[in-house]
Amino acid sequence: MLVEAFLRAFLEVMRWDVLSFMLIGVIAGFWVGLLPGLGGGTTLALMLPFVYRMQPVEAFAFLLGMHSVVATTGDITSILFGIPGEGTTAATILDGHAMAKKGEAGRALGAALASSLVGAIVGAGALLLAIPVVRPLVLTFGSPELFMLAVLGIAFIASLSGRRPRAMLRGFLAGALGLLLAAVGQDPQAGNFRYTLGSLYLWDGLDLVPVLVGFFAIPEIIDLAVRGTAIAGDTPIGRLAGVATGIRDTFRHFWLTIRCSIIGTYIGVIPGLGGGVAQWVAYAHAVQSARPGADRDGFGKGDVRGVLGPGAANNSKEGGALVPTIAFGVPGSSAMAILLGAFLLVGLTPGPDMLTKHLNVTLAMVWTIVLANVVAVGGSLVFLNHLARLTAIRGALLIPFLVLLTFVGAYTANNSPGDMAVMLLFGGLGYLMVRFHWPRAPLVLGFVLGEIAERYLWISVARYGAAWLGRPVVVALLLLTVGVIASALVQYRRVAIGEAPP
Amino acid sequence: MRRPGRPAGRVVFAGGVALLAAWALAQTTGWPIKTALYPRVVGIPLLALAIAETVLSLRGREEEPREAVDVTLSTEVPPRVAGRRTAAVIAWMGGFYLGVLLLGFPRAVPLFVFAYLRIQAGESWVTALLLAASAWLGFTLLFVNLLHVPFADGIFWRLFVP
Amino acid sequence: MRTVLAFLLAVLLGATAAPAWAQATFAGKTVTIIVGYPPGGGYDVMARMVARHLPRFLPGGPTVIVQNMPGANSIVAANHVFHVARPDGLTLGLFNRNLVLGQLVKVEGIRFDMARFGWVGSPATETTILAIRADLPYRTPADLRRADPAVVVGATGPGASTYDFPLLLKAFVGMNLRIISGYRSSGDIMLAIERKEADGRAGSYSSIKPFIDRGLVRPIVRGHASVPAIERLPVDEDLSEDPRAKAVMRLRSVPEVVGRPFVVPPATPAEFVDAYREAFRRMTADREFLAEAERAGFEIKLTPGDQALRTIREVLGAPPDVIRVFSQFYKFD
Repeated sequence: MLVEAFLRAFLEVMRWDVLSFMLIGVIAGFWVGLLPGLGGGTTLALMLPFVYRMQPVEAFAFLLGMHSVVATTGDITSILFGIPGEGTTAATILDGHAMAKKGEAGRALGAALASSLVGAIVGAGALLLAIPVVRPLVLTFGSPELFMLAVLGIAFIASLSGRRPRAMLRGFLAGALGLLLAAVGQDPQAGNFRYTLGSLYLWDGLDLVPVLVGFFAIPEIIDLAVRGTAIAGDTPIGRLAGVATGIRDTFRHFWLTIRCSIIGTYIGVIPGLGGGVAQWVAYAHAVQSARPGADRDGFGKGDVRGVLGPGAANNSKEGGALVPTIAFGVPGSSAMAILLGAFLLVGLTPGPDMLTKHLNVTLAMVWTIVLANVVAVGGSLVFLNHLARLTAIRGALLIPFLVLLTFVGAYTANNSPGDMAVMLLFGGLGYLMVRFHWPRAPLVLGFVLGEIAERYLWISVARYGAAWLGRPVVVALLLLTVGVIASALVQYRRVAIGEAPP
Repeated sequence: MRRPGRPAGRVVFAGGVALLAAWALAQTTGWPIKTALYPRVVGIPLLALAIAETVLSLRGREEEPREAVDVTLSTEVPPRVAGRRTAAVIAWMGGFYLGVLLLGFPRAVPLFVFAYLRIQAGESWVTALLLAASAWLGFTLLFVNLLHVPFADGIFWRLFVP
Repeated sequence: MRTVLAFLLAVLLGATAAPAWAQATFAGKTVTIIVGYPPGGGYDVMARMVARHLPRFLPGGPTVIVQNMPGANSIVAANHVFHVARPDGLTLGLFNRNLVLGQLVKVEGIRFDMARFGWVGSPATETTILAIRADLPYRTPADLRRADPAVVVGATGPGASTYDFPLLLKAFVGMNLRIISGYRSSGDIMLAIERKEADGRAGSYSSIKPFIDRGLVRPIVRGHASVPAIERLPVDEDLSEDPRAKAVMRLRSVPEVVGRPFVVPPATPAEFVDAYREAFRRMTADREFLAEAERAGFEIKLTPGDQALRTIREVLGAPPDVIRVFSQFYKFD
């Protein structure tokens, strides 16, 4: 029954008019992803008026076609230039851009795109599999569970911090700084202002986009200026290709890619965790699953696994995020909120009906995600080796454009000069952290999870008193958290015994 | 040669973070508990860790820089040249920021691209003009005409053009 | 020297500017709607819908574009339209309907006077309702007064209708509510209701309507502003005998009559204001506009500019003792 409906939905998506709407969407999404100044959510909102006259399946082919390739092509900008193409593709920079600097841009791009495709398929598959069990799947996660998930994510800071005591100290330091920065703005309980310095701009807290753009792009621009070469250094142009190697890498580390896809999907399914989280947790998982010791030291310096993890997760997240949107009419992100508006415009009410009466639309969405990514990745493969050559352009020629993209990319977050100030401030912080060997990933992890932890802890306590601590999922997550920290500590002990500190 | 970062810089940076944490904690006095609890819970360990890092930096022990799970700055360039170039690119970015505030985005963009290419990169007039023009065109078409992003007029125009 | 230069510039530009219009025409012009929120929310969707339809009703059929200027719940945008935007009739502003309450309780950062904007009007109202899970035995306000244990109401935070509306009902009507605040969005509260973490929530009727239709929650009580579908629901201020309590609840909900307030900068020539008012009047009666608005879930009900301004003045002219009580409960955010 479901299989037959699934196949029928495929035929529906393959109708030429639907397919052409999807292609238009994919082409638009391609550019939206590449350009740092263009966010997926904003563009969806701009495109919304066009769907008034479309059929539901057409409308979602168009919107979802666009939305589901944004994270895919956002990775390209992150890898090539070290500027996050999207807020959700910043984690790819750490190893992806490091690879580009080693002259392995083609390989990094191949890995990012192949893992994106895997992620998209896993995400779409999850959407499909979730259909029968969607209610328990989403509803087991109440506020206490969300709080524990945030804590678990924060615990990953331990494994992102390096091996020796000093490196760990700096990792935790960076993580705590990120947690504190999350406190800027109105507090979620009483609505009082914290650290707003009398500025209206800071009422809403620090915006993730200018923070990430400055934090990652500015140090790379400075480094590029210092080296005085092209991004890929002196690597001969002929060696920049390597897309095929990157694709092979994806299959060499297939289980990692799949695991990170599942992490992304799961984070997407749970509304309330926010879009920035999945990539960083996946990155942390990629680091953590490497063998402690030398195997782990390559991360941040151009380890392909650091590309595969976030590459897969930021795509699979989107399929997952559709689950609560479709099944409950509750969006998990701003982009999903806009998509929800599209449902109403084409005359559908999201909710249980989407899994019965309008099942064909839901299944068509699954197909759209898969097909849009196949088209985007397939189309990109043709250009990738050419794109990789961009890293051979003289740095001096590139820098003004990178600066321009960085500024515009930050400014368009809120169309406010405050965005640029935040971007520059975090650019400075990022540069100093890199210079003095403080890891940046823990700071971002703390920053994106701190607000969630605070919010849901208050709700849990206010709603359940102390009883929430006894909930089975909470206990399970607590044990998992202890496990994550313990494994980091055990490995530190092993290192301490095995090697004398320098 | 590796640039481990002069001890002075490390100390100042870690000390600065410690001061920031101390300031953040001091601010919480007088806040209701619902507002103050979170910043206190994360601020106290931050302060402790930052002080520890400052003290360790003062004692001057630096480990293998590859330890951090993050990129490292390139080290092929002699420190003196690197310092000069760093200062230059930071000045350029600061200049662009001022340009945007004073003249507004649409005018600052071509000006910056042109000035950087001509003065810093030493490109020919033709290349610099051509690239500046294309930067302006792409910027205007996409962000001004298509997306209607509101770019504020620069302070200059607000002051001198009524 | 500088003053001379500025003077010369002024003369030069003044000479090239067109003389004052006798009647507003928009031919060949671009009208900008500045929205105080990022793309995608209710205010933005409304602005974009108006931008598509308004040209048909303005003389000369201008291009109408939307610019987003988010920040501080649209205080940033309102300050901009009040002080920076030129009063040339080509800028419209669309802000948070509760800015006037913010002005009333003197929120820091507000540098405008709502009563001095040129009021075009509001094409829609927003009704706040309290809805409780349909599987619970509560059907009337009296049921909620008697409720035991307390009914858990999920809320975002102070300043939002999800919080203020039940807070006033609890304080002045004596409903036994336990308000759990801190949810990120009204959608997240809805999910909390699904998993029985919360028993209900307050919010705009248009946002809760799909869940009422689906049978998840049932509406119990509404605020002052209304639309036909829920006209017969009990009104919050009728549930209290105390005149001051009534006045405070009225104050909270009056701005909802002006649900999507469109304004022009102060000092915009009257002929433009008139042209916009007339255009809004015809637009909100237009069949095409109405059909689109219904699909987008808006409660279309025009509050004309003069009436909107009267409402704003009514709020700002509230007696000091009412403002004092109101300030204890209300916190703009």
